[in-house]
Amino acid sequence: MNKDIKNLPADGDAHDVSEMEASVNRLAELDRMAPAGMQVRIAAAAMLAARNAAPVVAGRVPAAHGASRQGFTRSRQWAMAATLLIGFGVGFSVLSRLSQPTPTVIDSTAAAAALAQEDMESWLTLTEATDETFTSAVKQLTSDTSRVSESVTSPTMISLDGDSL
Amino acid sequence: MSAEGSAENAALAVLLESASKGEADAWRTLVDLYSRRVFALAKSRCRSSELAEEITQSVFVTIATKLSQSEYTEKGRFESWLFRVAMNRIRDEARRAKRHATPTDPEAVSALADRSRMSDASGASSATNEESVQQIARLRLAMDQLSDADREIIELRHHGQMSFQQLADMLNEPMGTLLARHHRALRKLKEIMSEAMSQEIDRAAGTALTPTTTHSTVRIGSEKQR
Repeated sequence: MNKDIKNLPADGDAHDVSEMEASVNRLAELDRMAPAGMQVRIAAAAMLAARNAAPVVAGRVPAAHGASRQGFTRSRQWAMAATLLIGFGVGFSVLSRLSQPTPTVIDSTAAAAALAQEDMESWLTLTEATDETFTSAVKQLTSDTSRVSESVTSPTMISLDGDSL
Repeated sequence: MSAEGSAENAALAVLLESASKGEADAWRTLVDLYSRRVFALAKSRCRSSELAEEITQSVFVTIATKLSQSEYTEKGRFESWLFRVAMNRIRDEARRAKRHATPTDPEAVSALADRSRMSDASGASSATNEESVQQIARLRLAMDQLSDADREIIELRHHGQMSFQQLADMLNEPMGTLLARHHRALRKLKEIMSEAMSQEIDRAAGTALTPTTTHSTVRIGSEKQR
């Protein structure tokens, strides 16, 4: 027999406290009278807490409270959105740069020197360009001597259209 | 364990599984089963319905969070676990509010008064009801004077409606010890109440014997003593 059982009250003692037990039960019954609507409020709060605390992604995240876990998830979503945005930006920038044609340029100093010597072959070998655009640029350069001489003193890069870059 | 007990445990396990997924019906049932008992425990300590509801809600939110994160590991001992969480929360609150404790309970008196009105309608005398109100107030004061351990077992047993087996699981103590402690706590409560009653009778007798001219002086003196 458990030694604690020996300490239990005798029947007479039990009768002594039965009245007190009844009073405490009345008090407890009074305290169980909950305010109207309490159970609905609590059920709603508990249900939301359970839903918020449920794992959202694979890999458990330790969180003491639903709210903090929710905060964590939200901040991670923001981080993912920012990463995607930056990724799109960089990708677009690279693609647009690749899609732009690289302008063919002529070293105007060498071109002017070749022109001064009336060396048309040198003109052609400067850029290895033989298309019409190049030809028209050469023509423009040839006709505009002042521009060529200026380019000799102040070297600039000239595009196929004849414009200074 | 009896077949009936096993069936109850199985039903509760299903209910808890649904609750852990946040199902509304499961939470309605769980809250309906246990919330008023947790509320009564909290109300007995903090004496305020609003605060008791707040505590009860936070207990259920804690339970919901732990269930969803699979942190409920005491299978088959849900009530013990629930009331352990509740008692921890109530103790925290009691420590926080100890300096602001209020010795009276106007809400309980008014709640009882409502009940008294109902009793009046059924023919009970108002004098008896008044006596009940005073008896409840005295009982609350007496509960305040119990040690924490004694008070805890009274509240868990009567307000929380826990069985001694559940108490033994929860407090991790032999059932015999808890039975003896419960009995001692009730006897202590009775002694405190008897003492308070005799003091009241003495005071009333002193007041009645005192001449009218010195009546107010005596009352002031007795209040100072208190």
